[in-house]
Amino acid sequence: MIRLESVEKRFGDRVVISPLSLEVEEGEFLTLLGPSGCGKTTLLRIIAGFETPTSGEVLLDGKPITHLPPYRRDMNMVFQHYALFPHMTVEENIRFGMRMKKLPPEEQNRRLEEALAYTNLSEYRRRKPHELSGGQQQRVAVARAIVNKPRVLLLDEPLSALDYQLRRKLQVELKNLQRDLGITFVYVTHDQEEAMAMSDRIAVMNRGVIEQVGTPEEIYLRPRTLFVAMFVGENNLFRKGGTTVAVRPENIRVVPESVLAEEERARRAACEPVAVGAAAGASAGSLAANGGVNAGSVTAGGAAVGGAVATGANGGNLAAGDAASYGGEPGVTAAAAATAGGAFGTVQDIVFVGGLRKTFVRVDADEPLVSGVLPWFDDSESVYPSGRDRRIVISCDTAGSLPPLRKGERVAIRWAPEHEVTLSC
Amino acid sequence: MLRRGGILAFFPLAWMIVFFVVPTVLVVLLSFRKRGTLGEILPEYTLEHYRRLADPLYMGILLDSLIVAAAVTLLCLVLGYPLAYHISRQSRRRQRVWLFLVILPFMINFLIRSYAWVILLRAQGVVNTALMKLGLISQPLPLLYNDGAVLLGMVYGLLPFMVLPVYISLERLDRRKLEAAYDLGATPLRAFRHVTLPLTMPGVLTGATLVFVSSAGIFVVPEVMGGAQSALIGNVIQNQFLSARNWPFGSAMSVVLTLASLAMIALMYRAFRTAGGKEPI
Amino acid sequence: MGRNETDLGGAGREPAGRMERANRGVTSRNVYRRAVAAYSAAMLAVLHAPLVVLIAYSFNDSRINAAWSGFTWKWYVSLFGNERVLEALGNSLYIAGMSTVIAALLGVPAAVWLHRLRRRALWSGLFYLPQLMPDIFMGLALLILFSRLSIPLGKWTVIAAHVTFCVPVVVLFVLARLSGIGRELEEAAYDLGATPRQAFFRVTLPLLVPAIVSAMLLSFTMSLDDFVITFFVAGPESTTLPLYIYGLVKRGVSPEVNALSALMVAVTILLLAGAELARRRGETPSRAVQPKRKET
Repeated sequence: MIRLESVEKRFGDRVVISPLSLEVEEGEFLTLLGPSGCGKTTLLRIIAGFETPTSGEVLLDGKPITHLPPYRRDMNMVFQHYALFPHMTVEENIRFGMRMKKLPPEEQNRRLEEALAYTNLSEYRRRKPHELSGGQQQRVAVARAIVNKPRVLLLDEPLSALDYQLRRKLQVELKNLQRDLGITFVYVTHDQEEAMAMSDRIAVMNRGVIEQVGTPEEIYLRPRTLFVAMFVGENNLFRKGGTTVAVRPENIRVVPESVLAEEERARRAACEPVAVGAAAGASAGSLAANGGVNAGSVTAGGAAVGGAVATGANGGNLAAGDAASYGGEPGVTAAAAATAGGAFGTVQDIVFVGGLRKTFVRVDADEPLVSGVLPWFDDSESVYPSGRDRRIVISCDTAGSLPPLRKGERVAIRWAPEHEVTLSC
Repeated sequence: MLRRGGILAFFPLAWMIVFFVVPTVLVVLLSFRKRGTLGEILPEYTLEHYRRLADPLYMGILLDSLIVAAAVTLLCLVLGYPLAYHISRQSRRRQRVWLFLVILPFMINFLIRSYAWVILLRAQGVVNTALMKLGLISQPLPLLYNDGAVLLGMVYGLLPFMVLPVYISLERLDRRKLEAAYDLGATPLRAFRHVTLPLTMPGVLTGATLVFVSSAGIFVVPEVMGGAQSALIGNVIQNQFLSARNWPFGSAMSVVLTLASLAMIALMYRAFRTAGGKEPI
Repeated sequence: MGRNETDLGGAGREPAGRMERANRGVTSRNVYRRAVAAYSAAMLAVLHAPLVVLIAYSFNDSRINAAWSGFTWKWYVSLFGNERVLEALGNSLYIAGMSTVIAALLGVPAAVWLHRLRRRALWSGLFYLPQLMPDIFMGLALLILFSRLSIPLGKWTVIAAHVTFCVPVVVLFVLARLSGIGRELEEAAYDLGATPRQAFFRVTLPLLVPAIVSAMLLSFTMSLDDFVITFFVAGPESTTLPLYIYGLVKRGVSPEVNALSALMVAVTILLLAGAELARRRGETPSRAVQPKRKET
């Protein structure tokens, strides 16, 4: 419905938006997400008509509106600081757009009442903006915009001035509003939680470039670039065969040494009687048959990396019991066992936040990893953009889950191959 | 530049050109003309008026006037800043009252106010009479008709010119910066010197400029309160235009005065800028 | 400022040093504050003293000022019979009124235009420069202009002069307010369908009114009060009050001058009070309401 074709914006020599293209579908809630200075607000203003692109076209329903002034576009904007007219009452503010359009009084009144009722502002209609709270002002700004029944609503970080609780509440309200009215929303924010909660699609921007466009799920589970992987939620980065892969903390398992020892014993015990295709003893990188798998075993370095021993597919065995004991499902454990990811390290810190336990593990410098995942703690390159220690891996699980971990404890970390996401930088 | 709403600018610009630029040019031109014996303007050009001004007599008067203006400015700053500070610390409502009270005398005609001081300070004036009645002095004090009186009159008249801009600057000051300074261990004096003063420099400069410009060419106060011996350049110029009928010479003098005044203002800006000015905190 | 070692990990008291320092700061700050307050009160008294004396002595039944010989209205009475005074008063008011209105009509568009300019330093200089020139220079410059153009000196030459020094005031106030308003409101108006012209008249201008009124008030006062410039450009029929008083003062102290001055003071006070009241009423009656910022 809205199409941006090769839109570029420069201020003098400074390139704020490199030529980009974007399509906004009718009725969708699209968010432009990115850090300060990435160009998202400028892009919004270009769509609104407050800025003209240096090159490129903006089209609405196929018709170019690039040079159309804002007062002739069928869009309305909710400004970051609300921009309510201080000398007018709430009612007069809301009426403004309708008066400019010269709507008949009955229609104006009808829409006014509707908007007031919808935003719960009826009893404040005669107040002036400075007599309202932040949340109420924000609602007036929204009411003032939607009362004109625009085809597109543009929102420039409208909730950034509000405190956490209020923001959460209004996020829900705005989402419902969008759904009820069916208006296309283009929303700008730097808060990725907000974007994830509200949007149908997100366009992640960085330094004037759109890094990825997709649904929140796509963005989260399959980030395409390094920036997106790191900006949305937390991520761990590993180098693998010349590329970088990202693994979300919730997919990293932390296995304490005690459990590793258990596993090793169980593996030994299991390997002896069950000899079907099972490699005996400590063999390098071996697989057992029938789903009985010996995971991540010894590498050339000789240091034994603990492996999870899974049973045969028929389950119910010591090892499976062990698998259950640290919260992994047997199937996953088996798969994890088949995989590459793993290393030894020490627990740096444990943080409890929002019902989750985050474990920060500092991986040993000289530990090579198994199965083709090359050491990524090469001091010559810094993979993490923002100065996070390269050797810290973050793992995340629900608070109160087992095994309990302690600071300074020796652990192993591992993950499954399907949780690796390859990134293009 | 003129395209957007150029029509808006036409009348104001035209006015300023006709009633400001043109007259200024005329003064400068006139200062180079010869004066006939009967006071008429001759069509010849000459530098004689400027040469006459270079005479130490006139230079001395000019210098005196500038020094007086500078002194008045400084006094207004020292006396006015605390007052502005106090006002800016009051509640909104109180501030309005204070401002009203400070501006009120200012709204009264300058002349009248100088005259009021005459009533107070002259030999048979209120102050002397009261002091004598109280037996504190036997002879009336010569409070009037001297340089001190002139200074007093000028400061009194121009103080609000300093208080208002400084107040506006103070009012805009972000209190939190001060709080940060205190939190970091600054004494009130140091906080003032390193935080408040630099941040209110714009107001100080505006006030200083207004006061200085007003005092530079003044002739009313010296005439009313300074008596015969206080001849500042303003008085001399006025004289040239009235009694002496030497317009070209008077023009030359006022050109020199204006240039000197503008130069002082430029210097002031330079000095204050480096001292306080735009230091980011 | 020593640390109280034995208290660490105990009841959670802050290290004594920091508290002491903060408190000391507070006390000395209070001392300064009181000193400044006392000074300001004294200053205010000094500012008003001469005027109070002036008004008091205008009722003095004596030609020689300082001695009080009794209360009388006679000086005032003689004023009202004095045609020249009334004429001067009328002139002053007329000139001030016209100058203020014309200055506003010129100054507001000028400020709006300047606000829109990218590089406005040069052009705004043209409007501010008159304030930087000594009064005396402006006065005689205009005198020379009128003399060259053979325009006889009269009320309108005075008005022209007054407008010239009032326009910068209007421009200054309005421009400052425009910058304070910021672009968002203007953009919001555009967004809601207002053309630039509509946006200006419905949104910007109403918000400028307080600044315009203040500027006009100040201009009116400056015009009423002006002496030097008027001195040079007034004609024989266009004596203003300050000029008239000047004439009287040159002849020495006299009770008539006192009475006239006192009257001017009274009139000015009334004007100011009236203007302030008008301004208050025009302002938003903010009724007691919700807390200002963040809550529910």
